[in-house]
Amino acid sequence: MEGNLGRAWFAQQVQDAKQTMFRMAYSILGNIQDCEDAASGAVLHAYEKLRQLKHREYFRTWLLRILKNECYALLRRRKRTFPLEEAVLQTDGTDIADPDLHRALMRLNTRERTSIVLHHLEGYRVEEIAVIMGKPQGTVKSWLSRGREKLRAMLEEKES
Amino acid sequence: MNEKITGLGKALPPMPASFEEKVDAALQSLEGRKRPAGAKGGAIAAVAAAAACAVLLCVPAVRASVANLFGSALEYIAAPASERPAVEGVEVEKVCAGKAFYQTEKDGEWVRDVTIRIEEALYDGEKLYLKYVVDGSKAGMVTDDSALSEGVPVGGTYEKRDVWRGSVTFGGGYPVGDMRGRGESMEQGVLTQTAVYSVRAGTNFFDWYKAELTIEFATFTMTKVEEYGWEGDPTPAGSIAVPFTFHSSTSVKIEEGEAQTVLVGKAVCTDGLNQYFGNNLVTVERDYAGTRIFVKEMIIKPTEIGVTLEMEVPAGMNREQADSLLKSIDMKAYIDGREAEYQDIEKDSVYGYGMEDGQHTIRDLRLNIPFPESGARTLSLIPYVRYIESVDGKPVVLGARFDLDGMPEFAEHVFADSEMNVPLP
Repeated sequence: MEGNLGRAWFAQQVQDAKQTMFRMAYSILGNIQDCEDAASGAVLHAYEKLRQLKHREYFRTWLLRILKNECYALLRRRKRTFPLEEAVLQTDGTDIADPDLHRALMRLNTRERTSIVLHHLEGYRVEEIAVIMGKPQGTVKSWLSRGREKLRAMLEEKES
Repeated sequence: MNEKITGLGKALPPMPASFEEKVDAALQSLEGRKRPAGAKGGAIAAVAAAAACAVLLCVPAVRASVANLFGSALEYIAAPASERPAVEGVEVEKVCAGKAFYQTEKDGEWVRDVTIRIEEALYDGEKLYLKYVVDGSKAGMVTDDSALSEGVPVGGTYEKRDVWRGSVTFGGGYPVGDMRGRGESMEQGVLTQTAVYSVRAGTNFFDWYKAELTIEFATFTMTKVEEYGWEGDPTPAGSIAVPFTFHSSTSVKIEEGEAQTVLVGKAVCTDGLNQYFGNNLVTVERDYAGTRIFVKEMIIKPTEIGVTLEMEVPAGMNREQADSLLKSIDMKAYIDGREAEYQDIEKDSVYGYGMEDGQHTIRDLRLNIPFPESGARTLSLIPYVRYIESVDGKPVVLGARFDLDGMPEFAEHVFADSEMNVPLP
């Protein structure tokens, strides 16, 4: 059905999704350089698999799922060197408008953080996030719920 | 709090120019690439193009008269996957059961027992193609996707050999074993080929690394089987057959909740945690009655079956008990009644959204088991609970049995790039 999806169409879709790709990759990796590697890998991988995309309207969800896989592959490799939390704490927050919220967000676990960014920042629905993350909707709801609770607790603690 | 969530964008750094440049560079690199070819439909050219691990195949080939035997196979190939005829009684067996040895990087242990299994033999009227898998699961290896050989012209030299001998080399070309076979059929060809595979080895993700496996084999004999296929003459090394019963569908789904297992009765649980710390064992009695395990989805791929299970515990079971039960659940899988080894199990502990403790809990279990041999009819999953002895003479678990045939196509929201197949570094 979508056999005629061309390179130009693909490139435009990727361009439109760049911001979301960056935010999602950063939520998982917390490191800009790794985000770049994961994103470029995801773009190449997605193009190779483009024929497997059955409906073009699902492209972005599909692309984000591939990106998620790339990010997790990077994470697994990186675990051999140093943990994510260390990398996150190394961030000086110079370019971040709200460092407190950034620190709180980064203290969530990866899945909670990614779900919150996709849902509350990027506007994805729970069912879409479930597809991207490859987990049931109930699982995603749980991540969102616990993530919000943790954020609330951390921010309230900070304010007090 | 709501205000903070609204301003979530301020918690993340702005997209840097370097990120955009990297993505743009990736897009530009596509210009030199060919359009990705479709791999569905059974077209030989397309499948061959999709075979990343192409095999150099040089064959003295099968004599011309054998070509007539393949006439009906051409019809098979041309037919849509859903219309491919099944031939009863045609089985796929391992072609070469050799022993391969290699030394891991990490601990220097040797592993062996690598099986080469042909999954599909295709003929396009001129060339013969073999699709096969190197199965090193017994040796703790997980192979990449199945490979498709380059086509071998049918016709020309025909050679009869009563005994042949091959060898398997691994990595740097170490001779690692012997494979023997014998065939005495009238229609016997000699096939010699060198295959290069990417093999993942190791017992967990971090032990995996890529290695090259070079295989030289084979001899095959073929006799016509009914209208559509051929089977090999049985030899000590196995046989070749055209597996028309191979499932054409790559992903199927069992409707949620269709098959379920219900835990019944109370159970005595021996606390494994105390055992771990060297303390005295603690025996507690827990009531798991009403706990349900059901299949949420099942995805069949060429080399594995992925099964996602959900566990639901009844009201009254608290978080500690649910976690304990989750950690204790294991699975036995049977394919057509024979126990299958599974390679991986992932447990994800999750509480239902908006539920209080003990109200409703969902757990996910995921296990990948090796793909059944072609023609398998049933998959039986038997969840069981470690450390738990049943009381009152009642079984702790009940099994679930699934019919592998006739499953509906899987919903479109499941993609080929599922987490089960995360590309390796």
